[in-house]
Amino acid sequence: MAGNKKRGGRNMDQVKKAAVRSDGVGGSATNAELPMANLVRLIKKVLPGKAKIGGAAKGLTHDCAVEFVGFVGDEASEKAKAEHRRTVAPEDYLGSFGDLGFDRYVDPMDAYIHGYREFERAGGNRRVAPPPPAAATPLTPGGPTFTDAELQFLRSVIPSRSDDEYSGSSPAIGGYGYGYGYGKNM
Amino acid sequence: MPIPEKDGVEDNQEDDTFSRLQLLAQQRHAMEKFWRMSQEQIEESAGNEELILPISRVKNIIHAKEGGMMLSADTPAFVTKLCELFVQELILRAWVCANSHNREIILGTDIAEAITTTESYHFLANVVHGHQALGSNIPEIGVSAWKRHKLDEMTSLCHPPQAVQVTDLANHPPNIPVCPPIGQSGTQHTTSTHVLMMQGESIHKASKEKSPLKEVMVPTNKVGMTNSSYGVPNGGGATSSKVVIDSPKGETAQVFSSQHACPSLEDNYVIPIPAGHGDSFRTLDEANIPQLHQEQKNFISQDAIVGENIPLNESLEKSKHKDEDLLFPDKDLPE
Repeated sequence: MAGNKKRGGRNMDQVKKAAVRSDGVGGSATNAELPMANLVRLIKKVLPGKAKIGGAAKGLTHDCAVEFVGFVGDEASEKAKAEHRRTVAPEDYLGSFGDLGFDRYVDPMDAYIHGYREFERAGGNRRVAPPPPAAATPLTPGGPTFTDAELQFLRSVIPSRSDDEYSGSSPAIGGYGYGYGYGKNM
Repeated sequence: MPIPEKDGVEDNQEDDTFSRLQLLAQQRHAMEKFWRMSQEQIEESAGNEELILPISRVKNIIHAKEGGMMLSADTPAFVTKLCELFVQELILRAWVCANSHNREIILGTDIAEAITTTESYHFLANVVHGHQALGSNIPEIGVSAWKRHKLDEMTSLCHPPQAVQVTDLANHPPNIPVCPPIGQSGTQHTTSTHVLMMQGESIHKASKEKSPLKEVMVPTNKVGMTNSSYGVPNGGGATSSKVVIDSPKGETAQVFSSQHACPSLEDNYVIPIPAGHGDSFRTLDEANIPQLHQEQKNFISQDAIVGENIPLNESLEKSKHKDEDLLFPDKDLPE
């Protein structure tokens, strides 16, 4: 156990040295590093539960991943420049896989990018529900309201004498009285 | 290249060939399973899968490596997923290598072995060499000359000037401590000015204190000088003569006061308060006591008489002093 602890300490020292070295290489402007916790979680996703990873192996895997991103990115950017484009797209990466010997990556990454774009086109998780259902709602109450207004307008436009006589004959009806008042106001 | 190696191995040891073939077969089986699972996973998620690695970090790495090229909106997510698949494939191959050695802990040597057995991973030779330099026990790897040359070009793209800038930034902190000493020296200067002010004030106080003493001591100094000039026996005679003069004749007493007219006038003008004048005389009397024995008593009596006369006849003395000033030529005649 003591030996294992010592080895663990040494591994941690190596990891720190590797981190410092990568910082020096990458420069102080941008921190070209990946979080180790996420990397370990990603690794344990494909390994059985009994598998363990040494400290030096974690550091080496991290550096290999960073080198891989740079290596593949360099090929993709060269392909984009060859076609006189300033923007690197996933198609450039897919095209460079054949040249670099990563043929097995083409199919899963092609499926991923298509799925990703469809997901983005659908709106993703951030956007709100589509507008058509909301637009349909106000149409229903609009109809009868307009119809009532039209009816009142027609009644008010009809000759006033008949309205006056009718109101005089039956003043008890409150509803019609309101209509009568409305007519006078107009 | 791999074909002649296999032939050589076959000629030498069939067991090594068998174990290597077995290892490669296990790797292929594991890889087939891995790719099948990943393909199904991607198709099921349809792009909605959450990525484990942070996209912003991967984007920083891409910019740090490439430089000036721009990226489309979907490239960072694409590269993040790509990196995840690569890490999983690499670690799975290393796991197969660890199992071939009857181990359940993946070490750096297993990753190095996985890199050696996979041709598409030869660009990682520089990374393994770097870790070897740090002190880890990883065997060397043979890589083709062309790829190594390309990797050398990539390594040459490092940024030494940035390292120099880092050293420049490191040089700045030593300059910071210089500021506090300047502030301290400033404070010391202010304290020194305060000290100078205090000294000036003390000088002024001393001058103020000395001026009344001088004014008060003028008549007493004259008396002291006369005593010292005559000597002990002569001084005694002088005092006795004065006493005789004062006691019998009032006019003689007035003359005595007239001898002190000039200094007394000066004293009156300078010091309007007579009480202070009296106090100063008393202190002088006390100082004279220990110096003389019999003469001390005589001086005390004379001073007491003078003190008593002055406040009683201040107005009269002033008028007399004025008259005496007018009678200046008369003073010359008696002398």
